[in-house]
Amino acid sequence: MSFDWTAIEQEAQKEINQASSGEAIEALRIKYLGRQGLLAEITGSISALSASERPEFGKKANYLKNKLTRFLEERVSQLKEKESQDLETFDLTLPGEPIPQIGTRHPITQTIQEITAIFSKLGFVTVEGPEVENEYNNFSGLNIPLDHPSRDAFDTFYLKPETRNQKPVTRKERFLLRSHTSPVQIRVMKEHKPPLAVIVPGKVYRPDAVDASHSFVFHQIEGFLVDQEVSFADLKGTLTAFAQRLFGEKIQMRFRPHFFPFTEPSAEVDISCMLCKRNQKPVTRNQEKKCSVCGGKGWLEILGCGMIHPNVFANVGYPKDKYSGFAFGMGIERIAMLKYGINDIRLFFENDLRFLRQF
Amino acid sequence: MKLTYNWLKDFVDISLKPKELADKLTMAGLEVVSLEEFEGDYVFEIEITSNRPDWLSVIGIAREVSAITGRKLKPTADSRQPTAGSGSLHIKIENKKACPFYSARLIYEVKVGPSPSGIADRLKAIGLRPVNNIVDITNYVLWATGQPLHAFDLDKIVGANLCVRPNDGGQTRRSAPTHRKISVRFAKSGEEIISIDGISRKLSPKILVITDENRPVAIAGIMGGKESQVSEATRNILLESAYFHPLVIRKAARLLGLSSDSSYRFERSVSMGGILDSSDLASSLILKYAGGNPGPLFKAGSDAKTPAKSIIFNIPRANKLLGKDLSAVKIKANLSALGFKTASLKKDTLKITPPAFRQDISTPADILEEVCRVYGYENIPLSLPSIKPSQLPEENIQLIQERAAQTLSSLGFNEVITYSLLSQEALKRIRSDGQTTVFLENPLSQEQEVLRPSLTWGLLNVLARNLELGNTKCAFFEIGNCFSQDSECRFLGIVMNKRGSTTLTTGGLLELKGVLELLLQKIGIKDYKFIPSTDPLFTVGYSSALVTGKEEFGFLGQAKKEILTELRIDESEVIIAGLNLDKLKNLACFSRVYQPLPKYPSVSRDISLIVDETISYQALIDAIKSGNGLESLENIKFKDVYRSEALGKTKKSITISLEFRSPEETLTDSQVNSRVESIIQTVSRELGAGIR
Repeated sequence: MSFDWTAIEQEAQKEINQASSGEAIEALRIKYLGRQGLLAEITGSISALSASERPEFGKKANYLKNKLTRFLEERVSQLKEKESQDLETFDLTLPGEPIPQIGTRHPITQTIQEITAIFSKLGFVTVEGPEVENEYNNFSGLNIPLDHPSRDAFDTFYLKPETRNQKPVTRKERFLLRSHTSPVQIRVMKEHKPPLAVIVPGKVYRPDAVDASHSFVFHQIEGFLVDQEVSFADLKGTLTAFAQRLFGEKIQMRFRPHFFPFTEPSAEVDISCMLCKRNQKPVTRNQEKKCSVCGGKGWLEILGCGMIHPNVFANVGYPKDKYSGFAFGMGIERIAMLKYGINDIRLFFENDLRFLRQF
Repeated sequence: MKLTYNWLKDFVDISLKPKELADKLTMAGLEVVSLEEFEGDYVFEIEITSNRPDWLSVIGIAREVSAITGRKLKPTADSRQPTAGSGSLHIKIENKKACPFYSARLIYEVKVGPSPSGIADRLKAIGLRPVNNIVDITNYVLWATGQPLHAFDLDKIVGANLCVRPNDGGQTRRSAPTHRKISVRFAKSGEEIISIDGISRKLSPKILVITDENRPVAIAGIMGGKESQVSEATRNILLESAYFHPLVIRKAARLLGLSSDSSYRFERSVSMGGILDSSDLASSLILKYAGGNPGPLFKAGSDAKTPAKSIIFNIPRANKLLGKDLSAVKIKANLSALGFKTASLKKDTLKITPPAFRQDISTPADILEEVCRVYGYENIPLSLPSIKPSQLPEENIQLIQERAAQTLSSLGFNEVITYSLLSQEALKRIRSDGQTTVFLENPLSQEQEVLRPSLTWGLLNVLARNLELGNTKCAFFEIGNCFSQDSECRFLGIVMNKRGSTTLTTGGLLELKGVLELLLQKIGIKDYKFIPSTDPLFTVGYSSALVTGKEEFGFLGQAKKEILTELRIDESEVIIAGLNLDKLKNLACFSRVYQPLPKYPSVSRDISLIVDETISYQALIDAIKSGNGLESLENIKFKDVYRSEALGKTKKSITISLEFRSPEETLTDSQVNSRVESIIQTVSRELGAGIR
């Protein structure tokens, strides 16, 4: 006795795949696999075979049974899936669930972190110094003599001597709130020999009345590198790499001669204005009016820098002409205001949550 | 410093347009901060750095223009003036250091009137108000040459020798008083002067003055006196040109709170070489525009220049510092354009002598800057230094504050930055007894005269401000330095209101305690305790100190109602915490050792213990830990506290969960039960606790 096994299988598969309801599937299951179904009928005919034919026949019958069982199962799950799809569709355009906001770091902190990260990749180490300083570290050690016009740029808060337990050595060595982060140069160099590559973030104080662009307390980052044979070209290269990472590859930069008592040669660094881009294309009639960021100059001053003055090296006890180095300093509020387009420095100290959450 | 394009052209040919010239000047270190057209001329406003007093004049800037454009300076006409006539004036300089040189030139019979337009217009262009021809000429010469001059009305100078020349055609004759003198001395206490601006000024012995026989007639180098000023009625003048010591003028100007174009220049030092030249120039202009007859010139002291010191300049070292190889020829050319004399000593060494007006040059570094400036900063190449690994260690405190800030911000706290100066009023609110504080000697206002002893005031104000702005969910932290008379320490401060609850808990004191516990765990601090404290800032019974060993390193508390009312904070619970991060520096630990994960399940048992109201949770835990049944006790968890009428007013029921786990086996019920039994025995014995 022989069956066309393949034809049976194909016929059954076709029928099963056309079934469109649970009842139809059940009917087919009974038709094929039921007690009096086709497969039972086929297996029943085995007795008519010779002993040598039986194993082969059994195998084929079993194979067919497995196949049909699987066809039925697959169709059942297909139908179920289709059924659920017909009932509802998942709307993924619904808004995400409101998640409690995580807190933010202050934009000044974020700017400091961004800047120190750039320098730390270059190999600079972060060091901090105290905000209460002595006159020597803040001024004289940095080659800023007492009673000299060069001090006019550094109006300073002094501490009432009777409210400090540590007494100054001389009358002139009063304690003060540091007016820049540069005193940390003196502190570090007095303690350590070159090579040094240091970055110093911190608060500084100047007696300026508070308005949209002034604050009596603000933040600076100081950086300095000292070794044998550090050059002005190294200073330019380092700061250019820094500014391009912070403000983008496309900005233009210029180093202008300037005067700082603790560096020589000294420079101020400008970057091209990111708003009006006056330096990158011809000025159109429309741009003649003043730019709200650079005031129409096309340049924005971002930092001061220079080669560390030999007198500063002498003051920290380094041997003459052995080392050279550069130093630079910048105001964080100014950088953050430029980066984020903030026009009032007071926003940093008001701490309105709606402001803080923007960063 | 302001000047005009045409004025510069008096001294040097310029082919550059004003805007191009402005750019060149800026890139040479004379930053042009504004350039504006003014009645057919262009006004440059230039920021002059304090090291370059020689740039505080049109001629000084013309010298720079000549150097950077390669155009020669125009020769100036010889303005040396004849002196004539007789008369005597005794000039007495009492302090040669304060005033090494003083000159006074007399000019007779001038006609005071308006200035010619050529002078008046230029003064207007740079923002000065023309007064009369004599005063305007002194200002004009100051601006052109940088040498301040002052003209006195000679007839107002009592005792000065008003010389009436013979043979002057029947003009007024006056008899000359005897013994006339001008003195340069420090003022005496009690002396006063009304300065030209009409203000009566008290003088003191640190202020240098010019006096006649009787009284001060001018504050030396700063401002003349009103009485002796040149007016419409003036006929004879005394023209002063002198050198006053920069420090003397600076101190006096500061004492008087008075600064003038004159004091600005004396403070930065004027050039000895220009004192008489400027007097000559002014005299020639006066004779030209105000008529009159030249009188004698009187001098006291010496205007000898200090000889310029030459500087040895090593070219290879300079080139190393620049990062660019400049030849000796190039360096010499750049320097001579600036008026420096150079001579080659050896192959690599130059001997350089700066011009007399460059008092700022004294070291090779000064020379290097000049070389670099004229060569152009923009022409120095870019290079990156090879940075060697530093021996400086990263400071632990930076790690601590980073880890703490990460933990807090991930929990929903927002970082703030507040002012570190407070008012005395604020200080009174937050200072606890025994804390010392540091005051400023020169505060800007009473609002900011104390260095903050803690972050609390700033944080409470941030909270108040945000509530006012309608931001109701407040949880803030700040990291900043705080000050006492002995020290400056880095603190972490936290503030939150109940609505600011950042986790799933109910908010309040215990939530912030949980935050602190997590934070301390993150920075690896283990052996510490919260102990009750009394701080006037907090509601009684709602504050504690954090201590490790004997050292107190932080606090936690609920702000007192009064302080909240004062800050108009309408909140039921405001919680504040603070940690002294400097004290944690040596305790923090960031190394971790892996603990094998448990192989066997834990078994837990909840027990409710009835104890006296007076027994704290900590006392209960301490009691359990002192007794038996602790084997494999992994953890004790707090569940709740229950009070009811049935328990009575003096009792409460504390439910805890005891968790057991053995690393070697799965614990059986009977093992766990016997241990729980032991624990119950302990607490009933130690604390009289019953089981609910």
